[in-house]
Amino acid sequence: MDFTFTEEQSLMADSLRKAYESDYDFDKRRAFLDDTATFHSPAMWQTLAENGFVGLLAPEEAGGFNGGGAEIMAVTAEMSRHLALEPFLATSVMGVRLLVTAGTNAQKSNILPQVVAGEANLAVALYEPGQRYDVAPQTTTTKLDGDDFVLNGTKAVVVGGDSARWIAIGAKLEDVGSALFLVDAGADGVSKKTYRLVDGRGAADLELSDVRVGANARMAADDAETALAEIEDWAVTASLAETLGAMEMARDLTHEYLQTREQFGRPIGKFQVLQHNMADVFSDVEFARSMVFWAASEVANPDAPTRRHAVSGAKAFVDNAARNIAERCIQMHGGVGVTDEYALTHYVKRLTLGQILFGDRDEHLLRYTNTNA
Amino acid sequence: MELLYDSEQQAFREEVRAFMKEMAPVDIAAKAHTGQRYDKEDMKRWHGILYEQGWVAPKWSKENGGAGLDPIQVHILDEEAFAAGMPRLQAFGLSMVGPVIIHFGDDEQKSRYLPKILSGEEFWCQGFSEPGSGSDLASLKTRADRDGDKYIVNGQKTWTTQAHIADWMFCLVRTDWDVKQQEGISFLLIDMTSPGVEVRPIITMDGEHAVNEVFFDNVEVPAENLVGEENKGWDYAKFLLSNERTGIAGVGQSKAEFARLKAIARKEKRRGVTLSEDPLFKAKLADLELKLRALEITNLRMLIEEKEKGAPGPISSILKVVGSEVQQGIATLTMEAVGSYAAPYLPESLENSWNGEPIGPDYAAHAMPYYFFRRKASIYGGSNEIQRNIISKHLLGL
Ligand SMILES: Cc1cc2nc3c(=O)[nH]c(=O)nc-3n(C[C@H](O)[C@H](O)[C@H](O)COP(=O)(O)OP(=O)(O)OC[C@H]3O[C@@H](n4cnc5c(N)ncnc54)[C@H](O)[C@@H]3O)c2cc1C
Repeated sequence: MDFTFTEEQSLMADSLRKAYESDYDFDKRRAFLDDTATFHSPAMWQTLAENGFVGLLAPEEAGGFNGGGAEIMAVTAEMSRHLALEPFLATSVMGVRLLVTAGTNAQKSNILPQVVAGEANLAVALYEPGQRYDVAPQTTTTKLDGDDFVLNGTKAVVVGGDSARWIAIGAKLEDVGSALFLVDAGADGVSKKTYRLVDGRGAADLELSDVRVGANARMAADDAETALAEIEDWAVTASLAETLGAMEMARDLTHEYLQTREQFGRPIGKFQVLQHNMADVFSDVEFARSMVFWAASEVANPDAPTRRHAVSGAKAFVDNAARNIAERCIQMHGGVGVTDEYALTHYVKRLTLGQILFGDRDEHLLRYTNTNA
Repeated sequence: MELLYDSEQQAFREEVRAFMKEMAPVDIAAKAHTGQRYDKEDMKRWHGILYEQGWVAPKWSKENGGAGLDPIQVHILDEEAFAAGMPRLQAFGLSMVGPVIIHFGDDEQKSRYLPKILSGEEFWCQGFSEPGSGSDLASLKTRADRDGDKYIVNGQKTWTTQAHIADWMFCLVRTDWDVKQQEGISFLLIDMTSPGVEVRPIITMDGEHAVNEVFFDNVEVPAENLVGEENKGWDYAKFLLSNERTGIAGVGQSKAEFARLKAIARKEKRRGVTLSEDPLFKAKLADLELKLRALEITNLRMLIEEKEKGAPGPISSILKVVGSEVQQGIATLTMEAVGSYAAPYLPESLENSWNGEPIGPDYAAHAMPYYFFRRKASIYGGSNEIQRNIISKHLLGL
């Protein structure tokens, strides 16, 4: 048993930290945040690609790093500490993993190298309006027309959908059940409403009307929901690591504030109620970290129920901790804790986003109990 | 014991409800449904309608231009106005400085300020908190030095809600530096257009500009703008804060917001079942509803006591704590109910001026900013930690 990162994993996190520290302080980030064209820093994305991060999960022959859960945990936690806006979660975790597991050979050899090089981004459309956290396609359908497939439907809150060149889309297919397609985001009939998520990252709602794709766009998955459920678990795992990074930062900011803010002639950290709250925040972070380790170590488990049991269990637990930490850290700051110009609120936004993306706590409690042996 | 409203109170409720049905502007009410932000014009319009009806200052005595209603009637009016989707009236004039002027002001101040508070012609803001003085309000350092028939004010206030749209500020200033902190504070009324007053916005995490920093650089304030006696300001502030706390349970507003939450839960589905029927979500709704019910009955108990014996004192702190928890609980469950569509962040879409395309259902955009907005409920007006200090010290003698 080993709960430390390997030297290689630690070096990765270090080099990431350096890249973000030198080019991405709070004020610079604000400019990326205000840039409605990209919602992130294209230059930083290039840096990430050049240093091999974008292809973290891709096989070595595609120029990737062949990483797994531990690498995702180390990298996403570090990016989250810097409130990174780059589409790593959408492209490098969800998109690349899906291409690796469900891409056809042609898709892998044509698209993966572009992705790894940072030239084309990916997104995976998991949900549909009104279907909550169900990844099985319900309202999006496809029909064979000659050699082509024609897709119709809508997809909701596609993380990274704003910048993706290729978007994976599940659709109902008569007689078969469902199928998964890798669709060119610029194809005729694809319309996007792009917007910012609460933590500033980009996303989109998609509308597909008579989108015609060749048979080569179909991915090598037996059905859409099984493949998408696996990707959702990877997304959850990465999101949990982001949550962990944000928790640590919220904890540290608050810890420092308790020692510097004075009221009634003493640092507020001398008030016992705040000491106890801070102690709980400290302990919540550590228990959450343990659960993120659990998810990260099981996310690649080929046995789907085992994978899901751990990932959903961790999510249900960590969501609770995230909420407690976010709310307590604001409270301990008083008024300063709700201002946009202070970094804490941006970590809180990420902690809050994590609670509703890729399934909320109730959803994962159900999944956890449903996969109980 | 009788938990029900008596027939007179029922009749009053019917009267209020009929009034709301007829007079509450439909376009303003529509904002409550989607969580759009009320702007100053909305507040002024609704204020004007209540003013015409004579209900704008329900608690004030008739001789001061109020409605002279008893605390239960005030509560009924409050509930019905929120149920009709109307905005909270500007509390700074009507519930804070107004009563202070009525109790401690001189006749000239009463005739100068009260009519314009009532008519809504003048908006007020509250200049208490400073960067270094939040919970420890008595340590405030904004100074007012007497110079003939005026005061010269220097210093800084912060978190001043609506300072950017206010005409006047009631302000705590230090006028004596040589005595115990609480004994050197005075209560001044400051014209926000005075030279040397500078207002700078603070944007909160919900994307809203509601609070401000206010700087005073040699601002001249006529000495006649002092309320009551010099160095007695702390007493007036305590009087004001105790008034603030009786309304702070927020029962009327929380009931209206809870009803909206339930409406969302009837629309949103998990695995084909509406959230209002989903066992996990239903249990959380019920828990919260019970807390709200307990708050409502406790609040009514205190209102009856207030009716019989006057202001309730430190016990109102328990209403503030639980009231804020209920408000926060509703916002939290609203965010959960909306689900993924609470993730897109478009707080600008809540403003009148916005004309973009909505994302997701029409109630979605409000959910996340509202969750953030509600965090402040346990911070302002004396944080919940301070309220618990009051409870343990003044009620429990610990
Ligand atoms: C949105 C918003 C609007 C506001 N509007 C106004 C306004 O219009 N006018 C105005 O004057 N003010 C306003 N305020 C200010 C508000 O009253 C203060 O924020 C509040 O009094 C807390 O002060 P602080 O922010 O300086 O926090 P601090 O006093 O610094 O408190 C920080 C933390 O320490 C805790 N703490 C402090 N002392 C103790 C103690 N003795 N024991 C235990 N815990 C303690 C607090 O509970 C809090 O958790 C507003 C605040 C907000 C957030």
